Amino acid sequence: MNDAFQIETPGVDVEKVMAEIRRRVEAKRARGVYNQFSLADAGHEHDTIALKQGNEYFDYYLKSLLLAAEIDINDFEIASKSRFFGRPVVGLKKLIWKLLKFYTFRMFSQQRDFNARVAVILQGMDRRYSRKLAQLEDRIKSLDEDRS
Amino acid sequence: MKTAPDRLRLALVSPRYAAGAAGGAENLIQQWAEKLAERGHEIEVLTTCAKNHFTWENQFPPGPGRVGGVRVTRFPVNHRDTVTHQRVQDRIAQAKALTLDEEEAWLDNGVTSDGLIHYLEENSSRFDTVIFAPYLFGLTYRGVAAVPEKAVLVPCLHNEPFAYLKTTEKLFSAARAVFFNTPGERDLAHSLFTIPREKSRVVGMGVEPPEEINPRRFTRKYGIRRPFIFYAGRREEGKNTPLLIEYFRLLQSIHDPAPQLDLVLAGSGPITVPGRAGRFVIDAGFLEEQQKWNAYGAAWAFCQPSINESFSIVLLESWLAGKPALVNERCPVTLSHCRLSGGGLWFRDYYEFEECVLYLLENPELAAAMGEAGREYVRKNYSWKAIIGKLETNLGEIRDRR
Repeated sequence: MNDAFQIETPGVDVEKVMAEIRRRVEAKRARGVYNQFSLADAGHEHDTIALKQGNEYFDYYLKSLLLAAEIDINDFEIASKSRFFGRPVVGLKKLIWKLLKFYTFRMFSQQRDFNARVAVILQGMDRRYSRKLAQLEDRIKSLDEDRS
Repeated sequence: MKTAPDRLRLALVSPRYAAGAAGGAENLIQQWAEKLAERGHEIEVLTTCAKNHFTWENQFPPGPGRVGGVRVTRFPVNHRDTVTHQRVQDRIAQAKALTLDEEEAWLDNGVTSDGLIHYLEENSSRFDTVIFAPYLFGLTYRGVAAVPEKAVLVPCLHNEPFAYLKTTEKLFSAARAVFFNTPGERDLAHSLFTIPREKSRVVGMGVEPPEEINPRRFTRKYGIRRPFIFYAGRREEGKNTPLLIEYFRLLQSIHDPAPQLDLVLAGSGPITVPGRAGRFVIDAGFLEEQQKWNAYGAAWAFCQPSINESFSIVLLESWLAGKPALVNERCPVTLSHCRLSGGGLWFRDYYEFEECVLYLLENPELAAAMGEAGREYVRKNYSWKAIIGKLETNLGEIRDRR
């Protein structure tokens, strides 16, 4: 059968561009540029299938989880839908938020603590089972070799 | 009219036909049927009486008729047990294990038609080949099983829970040939199932621009003054439009200085824009065809954030307007389009999305060259002339090898 799919299009090496883009992302990450912001949602894409697809995505999600564990209580915008009283409503909400901070901070700090523990435990489990799996695979390989 | 042996006798089976607001697969079947009929082949479309793809109520009268110069025969949809269908579908979505019987019950309570299957069995000698699309309908599953030797499956496969079902694997294995829309879709199928190379082919649908594109007409109508990233299509969670809006909000709120860009979203479905993001996110609503092309022409770049694409016609259309693209790395189809064409970049998280946008803003010549590379890729591989040529060659070979 005839497939005849032509891929010879002129010139842009997008793989090279993507490598450069990823290098820039890593450099920014190393400089701590992203730490200034809580980007918990930024890596949050609802797709469980991707998790099934292999270690590459699992590692990526684990990295995202570690980044997102450090939640920031101030990372949202206080806004108002009111057309005429927008400013006073926002001011009132900000005042209430400040007054409640004494109570919410307790929950917030406990949540941060919990998140950090979950993230670290998951990372530890991944390492532990990856190591165990590698040992078992080696053992199967050596048994196969012995048998043949 | 062509004469034998050049003339192909084809049946095309689709759950709906010419029923308005067509999905990608239905649109593809209609376009193929009309173009092949114009070329003098003997075409019959077999479809259901359904018009609404939510209720699947029998609204068209059953029996033969003509639509756009093509003979169309309609059959009633079987009674559907929607409760059972939904119950099994929820389990599929949760990736729970199902038996083959349960999967088949799910397909049978989706959309199928005993009348159509019976007609196919009775009349199969009248057709050289029977084309079925898309893959996740009981009609396709039962139809391919009825005439496997003549069945060409056009799956329109996505990387979704339904792709992992036993019935899907059985369907791919039963069909005599499988026609994919893109190399990316073919590679996805080959990673999921064992399909002999010789039975899978990439064909797709033709994409051609209108005679004239008038970007200013679009920007004037919507009062757009800044360059913009454009999205066209269904606006819903499944297409990842909320994610695109969120990425764009982050880009505008945390990057200093904020890029001088707007985001324009066109298509059906509501969009929710959080807080101050409303200043740079523009809802263009549903655009008629010419206006959509004007928008492609006016855009700075096109973004396709969806991971559930088997073709992405809007991405190819935007390339014909010469615009660079940004796609989600987790969609094998759009990723493969970008890799093969050199017309787009891809992101797997916000950080990469931001960097792709900044990189293209810093390198306008590269952005223009990518748009041009995309255009060339579509012209070479997805013009109607190229598509019909591939269809005729492949369908002729299937018939002659039997």
